[in-house]
Amino acid sequence: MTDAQKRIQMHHYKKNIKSGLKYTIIILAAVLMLYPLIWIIGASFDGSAVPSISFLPSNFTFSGWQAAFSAPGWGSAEGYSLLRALSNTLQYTIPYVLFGTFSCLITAYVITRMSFKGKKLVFALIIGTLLMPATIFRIPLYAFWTSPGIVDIWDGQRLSFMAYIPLWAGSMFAVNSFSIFMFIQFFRTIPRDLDEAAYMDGANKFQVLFYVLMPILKPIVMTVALLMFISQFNDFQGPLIYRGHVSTYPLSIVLQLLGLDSINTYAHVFARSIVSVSVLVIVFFSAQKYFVGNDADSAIKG
Amino acid sequence: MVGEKKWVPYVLLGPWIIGFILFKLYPFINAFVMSLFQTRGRNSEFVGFDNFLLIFNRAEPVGEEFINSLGTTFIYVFITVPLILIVSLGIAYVLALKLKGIGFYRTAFYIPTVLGTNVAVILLWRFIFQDDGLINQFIGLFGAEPVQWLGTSSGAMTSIITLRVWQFGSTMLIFLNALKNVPESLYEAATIDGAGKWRQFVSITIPMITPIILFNAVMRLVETFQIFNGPYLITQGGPAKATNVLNLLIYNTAFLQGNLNLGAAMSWILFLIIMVFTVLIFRSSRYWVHYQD
Repeated sequence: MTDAQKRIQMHHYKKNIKSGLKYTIIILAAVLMLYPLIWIIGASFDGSAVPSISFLPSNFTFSGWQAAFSAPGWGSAEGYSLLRALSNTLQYTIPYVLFGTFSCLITAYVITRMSFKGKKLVFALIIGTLLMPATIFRIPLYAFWTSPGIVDIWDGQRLSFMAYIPLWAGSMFAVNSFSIFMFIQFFRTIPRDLDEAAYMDGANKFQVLFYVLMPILKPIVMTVALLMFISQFNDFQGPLIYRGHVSTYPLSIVLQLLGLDSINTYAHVFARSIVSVSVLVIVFFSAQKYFVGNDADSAIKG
Repeated sequence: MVGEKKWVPYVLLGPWIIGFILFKLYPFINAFVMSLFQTRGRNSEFVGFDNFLLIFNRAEPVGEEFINSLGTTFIYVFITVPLILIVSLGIAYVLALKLKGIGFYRTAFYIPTVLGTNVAVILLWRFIFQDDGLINQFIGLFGAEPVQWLGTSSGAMTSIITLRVWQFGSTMLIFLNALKNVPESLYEAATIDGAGKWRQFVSITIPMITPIILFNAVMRLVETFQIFNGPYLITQGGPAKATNVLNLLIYNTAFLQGNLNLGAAMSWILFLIIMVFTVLIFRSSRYWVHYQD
């Protein structure tokens, strides 16, 4: 082998090592991050008092999974099940996502595609509230929802859809500034020629939005809806504050209350955990193809 | 538009206008008004700034707790935010190196962000950090002594910080897209000039994405100042109030003890702190953020 050949070979080795290194880093990081989430599946079949770090259960049992689906009457005369808690969660998550996505979309459409006085002010207020911490609104809103006359609308209702009005009422009024902001930035990337052409053909504002622009907007609509779904499904402090009748308790409350005791082993806790995040995982993966790495990204290119 | 009715935009903005007044402006003002009162039984009494004086008075138990919470919140925020930025930028940088199967990794790194605030997953994290939990079992494999994560101040703080840093997904996605938008020609020119990878990262990549760093820093700052789920479910603010962050204290004061007025005063202070830091970051940005035309 000549000197030059050796040097070329050396170069190849170096390149391979470098490329190997970046895969090693990424795969190691991914395994480290995701191991607990994969491990929990094995652990939900493990009847030991303390499940071990290995994925395979050392003391195989189905009892956790059986209990997750046939949960005994709990906390109330009507009985209680995990699936009911799941349905309770969805009863305020779904209205929030539907109303919230729609109201924010309309608001962003008006701001980007119509001319009116005070537009700059509206935009400034949306950006301003974007950075306002939700904590400052929480206590006065609680005082409002618990004030005489208002409290009867939701408190004591047996339908969780009604009982959690304080959680989703705001979604009808486009309170999610971040979603509006994401829509606005996306609208700005769509050429106005499209709108103009449709107007020439006699379309009105609504037809332009729902027939001409909607196919282009689909990824951002799905992204906003998905992010809203995640945040509402996972919301804990909201249900904790506006906790009503026991039959309306959502997952976030029930999971914490069921916890670990002499009857519930880790197998029970983890089986329940998997059941309760399953909907979230399914929704995420089915909406994921629209989720064009878009999270706020389209929002900040401006 | 020709012939467009002038009132149409206002009608369509109606929901937002109502929402802004009812869910933003009114509660914002009322939070301040509430903080000026004290409620005993059914009577509300105007007390001026007494609530604010109380929470800053170290001699009172409430004040001592509040000042302690300020400290724990600062520790939490100023460790968590830089860590999130560094980890997410690092991973995004490696992912941007034309990796095969990038879609798979992107999803894998985003999953903790989807699940991380869910109660079920936080309860799993409590097990992870327990004395006989996953981490102690893991370090035990290498013969290390178990660490009391939840039993010591620094251990408890470490566990809630780790839980949050684990969810770096959305920050990473934003960085990843920013990195893809850095013009390839800049790197080519630098390579010709003999600049190494590290030099290119420091002198090209970082300056080009400073607007995105600013954006991520501000968003994470506002969010982490309001952390609640982790401390509530994993440490309950303990041990010895070492993780009793402000939002947890506000929750306990307003909703457990039912003292809405005092809670409102605390939330106003939290608001002011967040505003001050946001303004400071934006002010400082003229020295380190590079905007292209």
